[in-house]
Amino acid sequence: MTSTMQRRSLARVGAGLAALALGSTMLPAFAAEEDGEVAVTNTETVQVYLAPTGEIETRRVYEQLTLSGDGTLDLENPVETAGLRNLDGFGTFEVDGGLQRGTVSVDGVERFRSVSDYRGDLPLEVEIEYRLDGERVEADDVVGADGLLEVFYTVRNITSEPQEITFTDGAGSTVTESVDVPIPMVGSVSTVLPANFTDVETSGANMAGDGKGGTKLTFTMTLVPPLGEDTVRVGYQARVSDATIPAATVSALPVNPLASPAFKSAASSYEAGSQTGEKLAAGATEIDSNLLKLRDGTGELILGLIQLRNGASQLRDGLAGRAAPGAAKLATGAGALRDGLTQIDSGADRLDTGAGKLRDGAGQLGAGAEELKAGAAKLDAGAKQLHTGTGTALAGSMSLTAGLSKISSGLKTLGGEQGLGAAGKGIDALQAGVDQLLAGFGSATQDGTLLYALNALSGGLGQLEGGAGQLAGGLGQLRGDAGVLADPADGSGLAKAKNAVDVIKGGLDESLKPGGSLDQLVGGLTGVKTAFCSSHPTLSAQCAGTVDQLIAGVGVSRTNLGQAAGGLGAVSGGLGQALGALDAQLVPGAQALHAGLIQAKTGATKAHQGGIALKDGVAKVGAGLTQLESGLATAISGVLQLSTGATAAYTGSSALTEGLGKLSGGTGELATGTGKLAAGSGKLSEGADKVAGGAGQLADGTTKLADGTQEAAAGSARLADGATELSTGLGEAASGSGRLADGLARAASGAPAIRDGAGRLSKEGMSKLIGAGEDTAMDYGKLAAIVAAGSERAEAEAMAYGAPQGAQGLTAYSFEIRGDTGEGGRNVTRGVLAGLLLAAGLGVVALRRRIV
Amino acid sequence: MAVVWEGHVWRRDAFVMRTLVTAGAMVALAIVMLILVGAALDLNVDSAALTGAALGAVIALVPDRSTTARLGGFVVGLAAAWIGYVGRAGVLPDTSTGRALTAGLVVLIAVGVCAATWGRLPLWSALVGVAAMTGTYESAYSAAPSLVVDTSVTGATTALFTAAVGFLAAAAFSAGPAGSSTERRREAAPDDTHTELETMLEETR
Repeated sequence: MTSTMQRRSLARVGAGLAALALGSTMLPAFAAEEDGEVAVTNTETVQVYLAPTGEIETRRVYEQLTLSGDGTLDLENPVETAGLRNLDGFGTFEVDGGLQRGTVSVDGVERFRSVSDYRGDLPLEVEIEYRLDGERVEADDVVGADGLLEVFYTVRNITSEPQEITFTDGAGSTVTESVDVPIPMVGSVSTVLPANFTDVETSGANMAGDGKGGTKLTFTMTLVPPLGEDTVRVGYQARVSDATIPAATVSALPVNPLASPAFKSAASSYEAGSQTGEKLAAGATEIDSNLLKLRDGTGELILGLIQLRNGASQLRDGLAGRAAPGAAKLATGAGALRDGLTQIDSGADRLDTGAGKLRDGAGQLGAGAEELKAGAAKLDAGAKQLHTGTGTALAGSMSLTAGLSKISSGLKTLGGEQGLGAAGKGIDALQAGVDQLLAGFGSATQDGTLLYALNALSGGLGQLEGGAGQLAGGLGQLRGDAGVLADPADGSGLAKAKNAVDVIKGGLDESLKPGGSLDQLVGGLTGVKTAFCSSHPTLSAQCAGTVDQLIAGVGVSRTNLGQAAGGLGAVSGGLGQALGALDAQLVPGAQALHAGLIQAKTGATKAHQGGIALKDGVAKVGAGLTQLESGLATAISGVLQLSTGATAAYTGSSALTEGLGKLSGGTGELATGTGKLAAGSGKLSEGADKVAGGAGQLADGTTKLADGTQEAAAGSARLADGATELSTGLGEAASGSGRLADGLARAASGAPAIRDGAGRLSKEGMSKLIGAGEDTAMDYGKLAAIVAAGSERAEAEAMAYGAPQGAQGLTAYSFEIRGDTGEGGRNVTRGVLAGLLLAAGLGVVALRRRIV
Repeated sequence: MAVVWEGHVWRRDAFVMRTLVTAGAMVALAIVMLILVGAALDLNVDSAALTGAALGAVIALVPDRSTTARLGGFVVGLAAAWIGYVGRAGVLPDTSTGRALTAGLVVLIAVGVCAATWGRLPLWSALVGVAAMTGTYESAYSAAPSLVVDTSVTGATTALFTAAVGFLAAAAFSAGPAGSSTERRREAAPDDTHTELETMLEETR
C-alpha cells in the first residue's frame, strides 16, 4: 500500500517536474499573413570533423534561413536531403527535387535551421604533418611524447577547373587561353596550444596568449590565385612534454576578389599593369619610329649645320660692322627717350588728375541726366495734356466767336428803333393808360367812377339781401303745412288748400264709387220705384217717372260729380306741384338768393376795397413806368455801349481763335518735341552712364598710363644702360659668332655619328623594349583575366547548394581538426577510479555497519 | 533547532553534530585533494570537482534507503541524462522546445525506472545523478553538440569519478544512516522510512 503511494507520488513529482521543464521553455510562436516585402538570407555552414591525422570523420551542412520583414512568400531553398533534420522544430520539411519548399508568413523575423549530411565536394583539402625532434611521426605517437614538436597544416584549394580566358597580347590584339581557375577562397587556421607547449615558434601567424597559460595561434590564408597560392602550408613548433595534439580549426569561405576591398586593389593593379605594358609597347614603338625619323633628319641636320656655319660667319661680319655702331646710336637714342618719357610721365600724372575729375563730373552728369530724363518724361506728359487743352480751347474760342457775333448783332437790334426804342414808346402808352385807369377808378363819392359804382353796388346788394330774406319768408308762408288730413280746416297755405281739395275730392270719390252714396241713392230710388210706385195705385206711373227722373238726375249728378272730382284731382295735383316747386326750387332758391346776395354784398364791399387798392397799384405802376422809362433810356445807352464792346469782343475772339489754332499746332509740336526730349534724355542718361564708366576707365587707364610712363621712364633708363651694354656686347658677339662658325663646322663633321647612332638604337634597343612591353601587358592581362574568371566563379559557385531566388546567400566551411589529448585514457582512468572509490565507499559503509 | 541537553536526545544530537562536522570536513578535504591529485594525474576534473563531489556526498549523507539503492538511483539519473544528451544531439531540434522536451524526458525516465523498482531506487538520488551529469557536461555539450558521442563519455566518467570521491568521503564519516542500526531498521522495514523522515523534519522545525 505504502509502496503504491510512493509510486504514485513519484509519478506525480516526476510529471510535475517534466511539465515544469517543458512549460518553462515552450513559448508561443507568432505568424502573420500579409503581403509585403520579406528579405531572405540563406547561410550554409559546412562543418567537417577531421581526425588528428587529417582523415575526414563526419561532414554536415547547417542551413539557416533568416526571413525578415512582413509578408508571405513561397520558399524554395536548395538543400541536401540526406540526413535532413529540422533544428527548429519537430516537424519535417517539404522537400521536392532537392528543394525545401513551403509558404511562409513573416511578421518580423523568422528563422529556419536544418542540418544534413554533406555529400558535396569539399573545396579544401587539409593535410596534417607531425614531426617530433625532426622525425615525421604519426598522430598517435605524439601523445605523451617529449621533445620538439612540429605541426604543419597544408590547406589546398582544390576547386580549380579549366576556364577559357581572353586577354591582351600587348600589341592591340587579344589571346584566348585555357587555364585552371579555382574559386577564390580566404580563411584562417587557428589553434590554441596548451600550457605545456613552450618555446613556441611560428612564421606567419598571429600569436597571443589565451589567458590560461596557453598560446593562441591564428594563420591567415589567401587561397586566391594569382593573388595568392592555391596551397598554404602553415605550422608551428614547440617544446613539449607529455605532448597532446591540440584541436585546430580551418575556416574558409569563397570571396569575390573584385568585390573584396582587400583584393580589389591588387586585381586593379594587374589591370593597370597590363595597361602600362600596352602603353610601354606603344610608347616604345613610337620612340622607335621617331628614332628612325631622327636618323633621317640627321642628314638634313648636317646640311643645316653647314648653312649655319656660313650664316655665323656672316653674323660675325654684320655684328662687327653694323650692329655695334648701331647699338651705340641706340644708346644715345635711349637716353633721349628716357628724358622724353620723364616728361610724358609728368603729363600723364596731370592727365590722371584730370581724368579723375572727369570721372567725377561724368558721374554728376549721369545723375543730372537721370533727373533730366525724369523731368522730360513729366514735361512730355504735360505737353500732351497742354495740346489736348489748347485743342479744346480752340474749339471753345471758335464757338465764342460765333456767339459774340450773334450777341453783337442782337445788341444792335436791341439798341435800335425796333428794340429798346420801341419799348420806350410802349412805356409812354402804358403811362397814358395808367392815367386813364386812375381816372376811371375815381372815388366813392365821385359819380361815374368805378369806386363810386362799387360803393353803390354794395349798398344795393344790402337792400337785395333784405328783400331776398323777406321773399324766403313769404315763400315759407305760402307753402304752409298740411295739418290733419281729415280736417280740411287744419293746416295753412298751399298745403292747407291742397288738403282741403283732397278732402273734398275724397268725399266725391266716396259718393261716386260703386255702392257709394249715389248708388245707394239710385238704389233707394229704384226701391221706391219698385216698392212704392208700383204699389201706388195711382201714382205709380208718376211716381215711377219721377223716380226715373230722379234716378236720371242722379246719373247726371254722378257725371257732374265725377267731373268735379276730376277737377278737384287736377287742383290737388296742381297744388301738389306748387308745393313741390316751393319745396324744391322756390324756397331753396330764395334761400340761396339770400345767401348769394349776402356774399355779393360782401364781395361788393371787397371789390370796393380792391378797387381802392387797385387804384393805388395802378398809381404805383404809373410811377414804375416812369422809372422804367428812365431805366430804358439808360439801358439803351448801355446796350449801345455793349454792342460796341461785343463788336470788339468778336474781333478779339476771332483773333483768339486764330491764336489758339496756332497754339494748338504749337502744343502738338511741343508734345512731339517733349517726347523726343524724353527719349533723348533717356539716351543722354545712358550716355552719361557710359561716359561715367568711360571716365572711370579713363581714370584707371590714366593711372596705369602714369604708372606705365613711370615704368617706361625707368625702363628707358635701363634701356639706355642696356643699349650701352648691347653696344659693348655686340662687339663680344661678333667675336663669339666667329667662334660659333668654327664650332658649327665641327658639328657638321660630327653629325653623321648621330645618324648612325639613331639607327642602331632603333634596331638594337627599342625592339627589345617593345617586346618587353608586350610581354608585360600579356602577363598582367592574363593575371587580371584569371582574377576576373575567379570572380565569376565566386559569384556563380559561392554556395554549396544555393540560396532561394533573390536571397542573399553565404557559405562557410569549417574544418574542425580534433585534438588528441589522451581523453580516452583519462576516461578509462576516471571510470576505473570511480568504480574503485564507489566500491571503497560501499566497503566502508559495510564495515561501519559491522562496527557500529 | 531546539537542543535539549539532557538524556538520549542530547547524546544523539551531539553525535549528529560531531559526524556532521567530521563528514563535512572530510568532503571539503576530498574535493581539495580531488582537484590537486586530478591535476597531478592530468585527469581534467577541475571544473567538475565541486559539483560532482558535492552531489556524491549528498548520496552518502541523505539517510534514505540503502546505500546501494541510493547509488543505484544516482547511476540511473546519470544514465538518463546521458541518454537525454544523445537524443538531444541526434534527434531533437536545437530549440527551447527541444531542450524542454529533453529535460522532461530525462526526468520521466528517472521516474519510470524508480517506479519500476517500486520505490527501492529513490527518485531524489536519480535526480541528483541527473544534476551531476548535467552540471558536468552541459557546457561541453553546448560547445560541440555533434561530438556528443565522444565528449559525453568524458562528462559521464568525470561526473561519476568526482561523485565517487564525494561519496567515499561522506560515507566514511557520516552519521547513522550509513550502517547504523537505524539504517538497518529502515532496510528491514522500508515502510517506516517515511515516518522516520517526518520525525527528522519535525525535529528540524
